[in-house]
Amino acid sequence: MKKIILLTAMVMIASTTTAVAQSEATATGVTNARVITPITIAKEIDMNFGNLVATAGGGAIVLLTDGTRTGDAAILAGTQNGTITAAEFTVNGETDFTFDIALPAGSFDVSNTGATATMSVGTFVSSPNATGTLTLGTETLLVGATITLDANQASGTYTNETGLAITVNYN
Amino acid sequence: MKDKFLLLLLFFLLCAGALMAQIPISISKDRDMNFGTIVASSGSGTVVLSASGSRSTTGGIMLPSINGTVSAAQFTVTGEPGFTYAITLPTDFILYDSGVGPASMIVNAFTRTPSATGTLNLATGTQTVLVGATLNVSGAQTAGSYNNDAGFQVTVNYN
Repeated sequence: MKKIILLTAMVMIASTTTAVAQSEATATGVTNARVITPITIAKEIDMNFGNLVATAGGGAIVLLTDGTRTGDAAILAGTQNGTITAAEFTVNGETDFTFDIALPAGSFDVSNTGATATMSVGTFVSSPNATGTLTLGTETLLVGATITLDANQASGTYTNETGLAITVNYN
Repeated sequence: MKDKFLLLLLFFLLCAGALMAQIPISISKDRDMNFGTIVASSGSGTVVLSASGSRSTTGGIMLPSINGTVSAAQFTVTGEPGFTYAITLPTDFILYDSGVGPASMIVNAFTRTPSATGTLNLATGTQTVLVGATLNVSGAQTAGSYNNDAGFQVTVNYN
C-alpha cells in the first residue's frame, strides 16, 4: 500500500510540474533595418550660354544638356562662341537607388553688371530627365535651359549666382 | 489486493492524464520584423512599423520608394482551443550595424495584434500574433544593414 501512495505522489508531482512548464512559451523575433547613405548633389560646371549677338528682333536660344545651342542663327552668328556648357552636377548616394530631380519651376533673370538690363532663363531640361539612378552610387546630372534676348539686348556679361537651384530626393 | 492496486493505479493515471490533457501553449515565429530601407536625410527621427506592417515616420527620416523588405513580425500561438493568454514583449531592444556595431539603433514601443489578451481559435487552437515597433534613428546614422541575431523575445502565458 505504501508503494501505491508513493507512486501516486510521484505521478502527481510529475504531472503538476509538467502543467506549469507548459503554460508559458517563448519565441524569438529577428529584426532587420537598412539605413542608406543620404543623397547629396554638388555643382561641377556652371551653365554658360556663351556669346550671343544682340539683334533687332531678339529671340530665344536653347542650351541643350549636351552643351550645344540651337535657335536664331543671327543670335548664334560668328565663331567666337566663348564658353558654352550645360550645367553639370554630381549626385551621390546609395548604389542603385533612384531619385527625383526638381528643376526650377519658372524662370529667373540674369543681369548685366550694374543690373541695368536682364535676360530671362527658363524652360529647364535635364539629363537624365525627371528621375535618375545611382548606378555605382553616383550619377552625373546635366541641365540646360532657354535664354530669351530682348530686341537690341544691351551688350554685357549677364550672370545670376543663385538662380539655378536643383533639388534631388530619393523617390 | 493486486486488483485493487491496479485499479488505484489506473485511477491515478487517469487523473494525471486529465491534468495533462490541457494542450501546452507554444509559440513559433513565422516572419521576422523588417523595417525596410530608411534614409536619415534631415535629422533624427523614428520609423513606426505598425502591427499591420505599414510604416510611418517622424522627424527627419525619409522612406525611399525602394523599400526593401518591410514586415511586422509574425508568430503563431498554439494551444487549447478557446483558452486566453497574455503576451509579453520587451520594452526595448538594440540593433547593431552588421549585427556587431559599433553603430546601433534602439527599437522600442512594441505594439501587437491582438493588443492585450489573445484567444486561441475554438476550432484550431491557434492564433496569429503580429508585432510592430518603433525604430529610433539618429540624424547622422551610419549607413548599413542593422540587425540583432539574438532577436527579441515574445512570451505567451495561459491566463
